[in-house]
Amino acid sequence: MNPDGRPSRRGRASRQRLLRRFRVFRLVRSSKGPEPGGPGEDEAVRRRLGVGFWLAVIWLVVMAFIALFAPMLPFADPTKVGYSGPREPPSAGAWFGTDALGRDVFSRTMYGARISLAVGGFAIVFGMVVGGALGILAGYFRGRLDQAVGFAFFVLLSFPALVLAILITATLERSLLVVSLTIGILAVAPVGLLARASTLVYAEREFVAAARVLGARNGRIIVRELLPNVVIPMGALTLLGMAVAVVAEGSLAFLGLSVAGDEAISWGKMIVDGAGLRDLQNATHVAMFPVAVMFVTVLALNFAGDRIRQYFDVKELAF
Amino acid sequence: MSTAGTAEPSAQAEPAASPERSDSDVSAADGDRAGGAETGAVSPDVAGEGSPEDEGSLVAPLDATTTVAVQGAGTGVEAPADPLPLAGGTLRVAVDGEADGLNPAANNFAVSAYVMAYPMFDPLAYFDAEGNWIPYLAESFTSNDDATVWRMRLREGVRFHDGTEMTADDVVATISAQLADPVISLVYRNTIEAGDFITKIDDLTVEMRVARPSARFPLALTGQLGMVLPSEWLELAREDPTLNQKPVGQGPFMISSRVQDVATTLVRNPDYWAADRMPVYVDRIEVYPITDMVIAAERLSVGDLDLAITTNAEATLIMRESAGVRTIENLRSDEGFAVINSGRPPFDDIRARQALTFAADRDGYLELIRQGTSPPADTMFHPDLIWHNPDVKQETNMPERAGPLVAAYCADHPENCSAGRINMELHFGGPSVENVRIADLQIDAWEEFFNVTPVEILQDKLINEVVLGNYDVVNWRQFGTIDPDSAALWLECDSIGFISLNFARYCDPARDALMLESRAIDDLDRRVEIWRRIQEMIRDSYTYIFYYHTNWAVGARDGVHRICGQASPDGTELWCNNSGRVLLNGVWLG
Amino acid sequence: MARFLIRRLVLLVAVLFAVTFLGFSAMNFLGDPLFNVVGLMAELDCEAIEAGSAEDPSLDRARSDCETVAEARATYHLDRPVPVRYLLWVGDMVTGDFGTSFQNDQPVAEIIREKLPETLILLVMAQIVSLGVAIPWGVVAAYRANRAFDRGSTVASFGLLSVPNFALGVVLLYLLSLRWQIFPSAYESDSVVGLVFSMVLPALTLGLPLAASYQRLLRTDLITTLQEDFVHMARAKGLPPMRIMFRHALRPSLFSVVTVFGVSTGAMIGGSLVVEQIFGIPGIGREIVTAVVRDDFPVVLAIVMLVACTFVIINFMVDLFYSWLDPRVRAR
Repeated sequence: MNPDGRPSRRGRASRQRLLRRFRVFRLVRSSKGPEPGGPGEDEAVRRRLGVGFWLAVIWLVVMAFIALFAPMLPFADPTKVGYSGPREPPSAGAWFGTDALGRDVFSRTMYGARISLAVGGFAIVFGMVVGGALGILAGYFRGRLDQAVGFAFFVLLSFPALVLAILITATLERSLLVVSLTIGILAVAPVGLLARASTLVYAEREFVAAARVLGARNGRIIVRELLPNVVIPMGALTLLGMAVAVVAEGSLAFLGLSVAGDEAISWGKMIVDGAGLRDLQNATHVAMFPVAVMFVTVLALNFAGDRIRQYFDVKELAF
Repeated sequence: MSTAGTAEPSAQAEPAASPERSDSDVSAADGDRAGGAETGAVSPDVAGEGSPEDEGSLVAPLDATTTVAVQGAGTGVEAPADPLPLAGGTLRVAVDGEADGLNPAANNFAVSAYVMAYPMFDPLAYFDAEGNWIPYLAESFTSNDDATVWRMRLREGVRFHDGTEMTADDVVATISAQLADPVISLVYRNTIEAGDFITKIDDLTVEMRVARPSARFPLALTGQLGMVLPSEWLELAREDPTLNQKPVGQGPFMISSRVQDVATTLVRNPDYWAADRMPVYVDRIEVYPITDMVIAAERLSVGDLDLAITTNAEATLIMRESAGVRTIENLRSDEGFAVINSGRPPFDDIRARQALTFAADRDGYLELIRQGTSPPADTMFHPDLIWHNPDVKQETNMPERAGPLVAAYCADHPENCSAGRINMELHFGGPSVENVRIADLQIDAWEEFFNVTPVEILQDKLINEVVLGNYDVVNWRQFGTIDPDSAALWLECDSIGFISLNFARYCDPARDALMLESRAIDDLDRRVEIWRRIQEMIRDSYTYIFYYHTNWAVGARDGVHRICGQASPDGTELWCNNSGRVLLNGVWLG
Repeated sequence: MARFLIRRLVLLVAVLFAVTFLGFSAMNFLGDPLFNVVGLMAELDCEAIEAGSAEDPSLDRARSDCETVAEARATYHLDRPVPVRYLLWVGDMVTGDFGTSFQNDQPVAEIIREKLPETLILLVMAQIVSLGVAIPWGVVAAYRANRAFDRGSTVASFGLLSVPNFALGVVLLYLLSLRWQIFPSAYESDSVVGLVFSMVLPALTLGLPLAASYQRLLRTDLITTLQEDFVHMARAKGLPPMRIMFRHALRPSLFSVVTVFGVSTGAMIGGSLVVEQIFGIPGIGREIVTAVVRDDFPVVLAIVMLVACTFVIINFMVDLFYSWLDPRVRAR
């Protein structure tokens, strides 16, 4: 928190602490945060994306493609009960086997990408639009607005996130929109803090001062001068934020509180469906295949996101 | 592992656990039955002028039953005759849910609550091994000629756990409090007038006036309504609701400690009023609420528990497969079914109801959800029961018959259809992995003819939507009556209203007349005739899709004896495993 | 320092107010408190019934129901607007009255007292697991920085951080409980030993990802420390490398870990929601999920406040820790 709105040392320290908290969520990394390569990594490494990055990107592109075009791809009907016998192990016909209702686990896992990626994508976009706007405004105008926004962010961060999420999804209609919005709201505060911090840095720069001297209005300065600069660090963190959102959706689904309906197949839902002790023992594949695909997807998001963050050197920009 | 346990479709969503509603049933073939020896020593001293006329058994002869006592793997099929009972030990029991409280006058009891409450409260009446009511805590019941006024005589010398003697005042206070409770009284609304229902005649006699002739009224006192509290304690509990967790009864066990969601411990009542004729063996009963009964079954199989009570298919399978564990399964309990709301479109049209019924996938349900642990249901009665009408069959798995009906309906009501399919909602309780699975299965079968929108709402709120009629189709569990008179509540026209316990909102005055007649008479043949006719009427109304008869399975370690074969204070052998409400009073460990 | 403390305290109180008000409003907006108190009767159209116009077959019964509803409204102040109710609730809270559960009339304070120990045991064990894993792991990785082990462990920690905790729980349950049968699959309360033993899997589920993030922090800080003069000095003196590591380098490198140790406890409470579900632990996390699902307002609010308090207080303590460590922080 920086209650007086000035970029004091104290404010800076507290901001870092807040962000450090969110490093636990792997959304934002502060300047003092550790780097995967550590101090040993040099500029050249940082400026190269590497093979791993491209592998991750390929995986994500494939998943996104599957999510978008699943109905047109030659998958089995994922809601078809009795596609084969119940709990059958993987075979040539059903690559990932079948679940308790004899549905094709491979097809369901592929369709599962739809909800996960849709919720993840929407949530992070919402967080960036709302959080980004609030953060930029707070960082640019400072003063009371900054105090109010900063306080609101801090309150949001103090509220146990998953509790807020289940509070909303347990009582409202559990549509794709509600679930996405819920997770989007959770993304507002961390994204907003980042935007505010970046804005604070740029608002002091010469080109902003120059624009102001030339008589540019606030609106114009924000849109033309600040936004493009602030969007870069925020954009670099998109994939990392999406990873968090995908996991959050999975947690909700695991608690039975994500998007409802037989068509709404989600990885979290599939995992909990196969996670009964007896199923886990006798039909391990029902839970483990979605676990594996979800893990690889989150890993790819994290890995690619982390490389992008390093590539754009966001840690320098963050403060 | 599931989020809300392995809740059965609507086990917790049913309204007030009605003692009437689930008067069901017993597993007659428990290996422990030889344990009648001890009860035989008790002379049936108080036959009671009001004990029921012998109506004969309400179940078919034993050899015709499908009730099973499955021995655990590795043990012989025939259990050896009981050795002499041993005293002492702790009985550890798992139930599938926690009770909000154990005060029968304030908390609505589900099965798990009954398992904890019966050892603490002797009910005023109970069932004998044939399914007829018998006096239990009460000494006798008598009624006037048209069975509208019932007089109940209490036993002398019954003492509560706090040492005070039980009198008619306590009975009047308790039953009045129960009928004043909006939820507990819900299921008695049509039959019992709250205001001047019960009056004290003398210290040991009360009189009850029933709104309708009711030849078997004491059945209502076999459950929660028949559990008596000290009147002074009732006053205290009204002021301090935390007392609901530690009620004072008169049964063979007293509450010792209770931590919600963890364990409830009962200890033997040293001054039990009937200790001379109903010996109590174990020192302590510990009841663990375990929402995932698969975990409970696993723990039972390794000996961490002595008894587990469940309807969960997988838990039942595990218990059947475990060495050292036997199961006592009661298949004649509640029926699992889908209710169709005939009170609003689209299902106010019988063609839509028929189409839904024909397209339903009962075979898949039984195989994939129940996994073979529960038999298919055709009517509200298990084939073992004399009421069962063998000519009534549940029509499902014939989608070819649904198509023309839907087409005809949609031609008449295009506003309720889109793309040639009828629009509907399917309600079910959650969050629950199993319920989602059930809905997915149902929708898959229906979606050729119906646009189904699944509505998963919280168990606690589901009942709200259902009684208010804000649903099209809902998954439910109910009936399971050994004596069907009480089922009238769920079927009759009078139950339809703002709050409707006739969930299907289907009114048939002819059916009502038959049910009223049945309630008032003792002629078993005529009653059977009536109820067989009613099953046909229910079938023809297409308001319920019966899927299965619930299997209430009690898994017990081999060392746990006399789960069945217990006797009443008068020495009459009792029903066992009454829809999971197992009496633990006379159990012993060896 | 005093002014700094006061400012922090004011902030703490303000945040608590805001968090609880947010929770209070959300519950009232999203749920129906009346329904939880009187059930179905909440749906009665009492005005119409009083007027005698509602078409209810049993009007007398309905009237008495409406009295019950009115009584409940008065008891729980449901006839007042939300902000007033909030203030009343705060008033009760300040006087130590946490209210009683709608569900079972138990005092909320008692529920928390019953459920909190399980969660605390879980959190403590998870922290033990994470530190126990992270410190040796970080030390070895830093000692051989950028060698094969270090590179491998970087990948491993990245992987661990990418497993959703519910998925990790399921995998651990399968491997360690069902397949290798080392740990029990669910909560057991029979004995202290059994309890602790049954908490190992949940603690691993919560603790392993945390260990990965600790390891990364520790490794980075250690590498920095190892380049400091006093380490070079010690090395010049010929001290054995492991002695240098543990006696000299480790302690100054724990700064980041200690910071995150505090805040991660707050984050872990969120994780415990899911983990307690998986392993059937009757703790605070499972309690709040149940309470939310059943609209048990007093319990939800009390737990939300508890968690928010913990979070804010930990932040506050980290602040103090900072300012104690680095006087420049409080200088301004």
